[in-house]
Order: sequence, then C-alpha cells, then structure tokens
Amino acid sequence: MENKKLVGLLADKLGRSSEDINKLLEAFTEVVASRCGELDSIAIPSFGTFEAKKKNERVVVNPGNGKRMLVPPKIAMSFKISNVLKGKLK
Amino acid sequence: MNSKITFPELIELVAEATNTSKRMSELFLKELFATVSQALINGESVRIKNLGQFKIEEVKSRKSVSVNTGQEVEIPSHNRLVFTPAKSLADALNEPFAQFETVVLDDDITDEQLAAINGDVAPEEFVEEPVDDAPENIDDESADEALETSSEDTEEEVVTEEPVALTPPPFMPLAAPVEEPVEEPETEPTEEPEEEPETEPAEEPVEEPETEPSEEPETEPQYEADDDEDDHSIVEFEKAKREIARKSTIRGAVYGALGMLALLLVGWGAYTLGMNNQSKSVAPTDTVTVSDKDEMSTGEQVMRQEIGEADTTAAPVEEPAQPKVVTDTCTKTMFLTRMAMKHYGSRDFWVYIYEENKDKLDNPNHITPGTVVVIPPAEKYGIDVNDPESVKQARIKSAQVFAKFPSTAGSKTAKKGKYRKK
Repeated sequence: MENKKLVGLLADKLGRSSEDINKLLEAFTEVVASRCGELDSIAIPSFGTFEAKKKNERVVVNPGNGKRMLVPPKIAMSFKISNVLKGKLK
Repeated sequence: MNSKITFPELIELVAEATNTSKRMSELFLKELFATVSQALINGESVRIKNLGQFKIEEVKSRKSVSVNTGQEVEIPSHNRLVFTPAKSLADALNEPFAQFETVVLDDDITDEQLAAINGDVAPEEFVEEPVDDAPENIDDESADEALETSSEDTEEEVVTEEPVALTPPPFMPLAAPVEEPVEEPETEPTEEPEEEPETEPAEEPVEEPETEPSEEPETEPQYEADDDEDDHSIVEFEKAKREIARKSTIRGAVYGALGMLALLLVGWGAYTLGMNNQSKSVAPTDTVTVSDKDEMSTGEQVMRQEIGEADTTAAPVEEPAQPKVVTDTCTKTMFLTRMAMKHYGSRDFWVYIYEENKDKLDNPNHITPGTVVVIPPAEKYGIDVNDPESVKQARIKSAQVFAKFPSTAGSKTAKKGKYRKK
C-alpha cells in the first residue's frame, strides 16, 4: 500500500479531507524524525517502537585485498515490533 | 536524550505541530496504526512518505536446538515485519555524522593501535604478563599459543612452589638465582641507562646488588611503558582519523619513546625505593647468589656510568637516529614484533631483527626472555615504514621464516592471512 492510498483510506475513515490527513501524517513523520534524531524512542501501543540507534565507528577488512577501512559512526533508524502485532502476524 | 515518548505525548506533539485538537490527533494516530496493522496482517506492505516501508517477510521453518534440553526443535515458519526507513528519514537522522566517509587506513596503523582504541588491548599480551618464567612468545596474535605457554608455566611454578601471581609479584627470592645471571646484565644496559644518571648517581652504589635480584625492575616498568605507548597511539590514531593521509608514525614513535622513558624513570625510582627496604630483609636468604650478582652488577654499573656520562645531556639511547649499535632485550612484554614497532614503526619488520640475530634466536615463536638482540640500522635492510614495497618484502620474509617452523607457523600465518592478505 503506497502513501497515497493510505491517506485516502484514512480520509475516508475519519471523514476528513486528504489534505488534512496529509498534514497530520507529515507532522507525525516530522515528530519521529526530530525526536529520533535526539536518540529518543517513540512507543506506539500494540504497534511497535520507533527508535534511533547510534552505531559506533568500526574497522572492517576488505577480504579481497586486505585493506582495512574505518567506517564512521552513524545513527540508524530501527523499528521494534510490539508483541501484540507480532502475534497477529503469525 | 534516550527518553521514551509515550502515545499521549506523541498525540500532543502532533496536535501542536498541526494546530488541531488533541482529539483529532488521537483519532488520526489510532486510525493510522490500526490501518497499517490491518494492511500488514493482510500481507500487504505499507509505505509511508518520509518514514519508510513496512514489509512482511516469510521466515521458513528451520531446525534449532533447545538451549535448555539440548533437544532438536523445529521453529515453525512465521511472518516477520521488516521496516526499512525512508532515505530522507535516514539522512535526517544521520546528519551529525553525514560528513564522515569510510576511509582506507594506512598500513602503518597497526592492529595493536586499533585494539587500544577499541579498548581491548590485545588481551593475549596480558595473559602472558603475570607468568614469571615464560618461554617467550614472539607473536601476540597467536592467542592459543599464549594460553598454552601460560598454562605450562603455571604448572612449572607449582613445582617450584612459586605462587601464581596475577600481578607481577613484588619480590621472588626463589626464582632469582636461576633467572638473574641471564637476565641482569643484558637488560640493564639497554633499557635503563637513560635514567641512571638522574636517579642513582649517589644513593645506590652499594645497594645495587641487592636491589637487582628479581627481574621485576625490567618487567614492571615496561608493562607500564607499553600501556603508555598505546595511549599515545590513541592520540596518534585520533589524528590519523582526521587527516588520514598524514603519516604520523615518526612523531608517534618519538612520543612513545619519551613517554616510555618518563614512565621507566618513575617506575624504577618507586621500585628501587621500595626494594631498598625489602631487599635488606631478604638478602640473607640467598647469600650464595649475592656474590654472583655482585660481579654482575658491578660490571653493570661500570657500563651504566659510561653510558651515563655519554648521555647526561644527549637524547635517549633508543632514538632511531643513534649511530652506534642499538640493542634490545627480549622480555615477556618485549617481543621482536614490539621491538620492530618501536624501532622501525611497524611490527612487520620484526623479521629483520630475527635475521640479524639468527644465531641467538632459534624459533621466533619461542624466544627466551633476557636474550639481547641487536637492532640492525634501518638502512641495512632498506626498512621504510612509509614504503609499501618495503613492508611487503618484510611480510614475505616473515612468511618464509615461519615456513621453517611449521609447528606454530600454521596458526600464525592463517591469522595473518585473515587480517591482511598480501
């Protein structure tokens, strides 16, 4: 299901224009981006947790030529599914 | 930072951001996740703009072993949710580190330095440390080897009623008579002379023979010194990260040498002070050996004075620029690789030290602590850390040497190959 279809579906269910829904959805993604950028986690009941994790820098070796490379640290988004939804998916 | 945002808080945040009522925001969010969940349960994947894609993946059934009972269990096939963050979200999150790129490390940054940075300084070296009379292990990468030798040693020590100490024991009169004659005269001239003129010009001449008997003076300061070297290499590596092209090995070596000297000085001073008190009480127990040591250490002192005179104003003996024959002594912590690191800036050049002292050393993996080796001048074998070709030559050479000692060569070369294949 693509974004557009999702927005349309939500608009129908809530009786609002898809513009409003779009705004709300954008606001939500912005909140996720800004709060996760501060390494906070956002927990949504019976759905899961959005969480950003900081990965430390590390050294990897290219097995082909033995060159060692330093991989910089990064912040990666992760999502942990809640047990409720996990059970439903089975 | 690291706080958990609950659902009510999220509702509030979204409401504020869109200027809508909390009620509307709550309705929307609940409906949103309900819809997404339902779609996922139906097996659909859902893509949300600027957030990412939720996808269902099937995991096939597979066999596993129950941890508790050890029985084979089959994990039934099930569905798994996979979340792939949208590129825009991933980039936004990673902004603080966006300017960094993966860089290829220079060859002159060694595994040791990297280990120091990662906080786990090659643990094998420390395994060997506490053991008192270990047959020397040249290669600190061969962990199993190190374990082997250390276990052997503990057995030996039980026989001689030595306590197996976890830290270098302060004094060991039992071990002393055997160890001394080999260890003493050789280590001192090379390792200690720099500091002699400062610490001992007047106070020590008579005490000397008694303070020497155990081998701690050498091992202890060196232990610290090595740590210090690592510290410096952390600094060095930090720099290397920022301006990775720059080769700062030479500077690092100088720092390392200076730090080492300072620590040796402190360690030695503290040690001799402590020993002065201790040794008097112990001296009577090994009267036989004392006479031997007397000879040793008087000879030693002559040497020290000579070197001391020459050195009071000049730079440390171990500086690579030094013209006269440079020697070094193998100890538990100073292997050929370490020496190569110290004198040439890369451990790969150990093979040349081995080559130069072939008659004294037999198997490079088993070097007797206390062996004095001559460090050949770098020019003799064309040693140049900054020249990849030179490093490569050294590696080829070391592979040849190891081929002659097949018993331990296997693990070593295999490991080497894993890290850097050349």
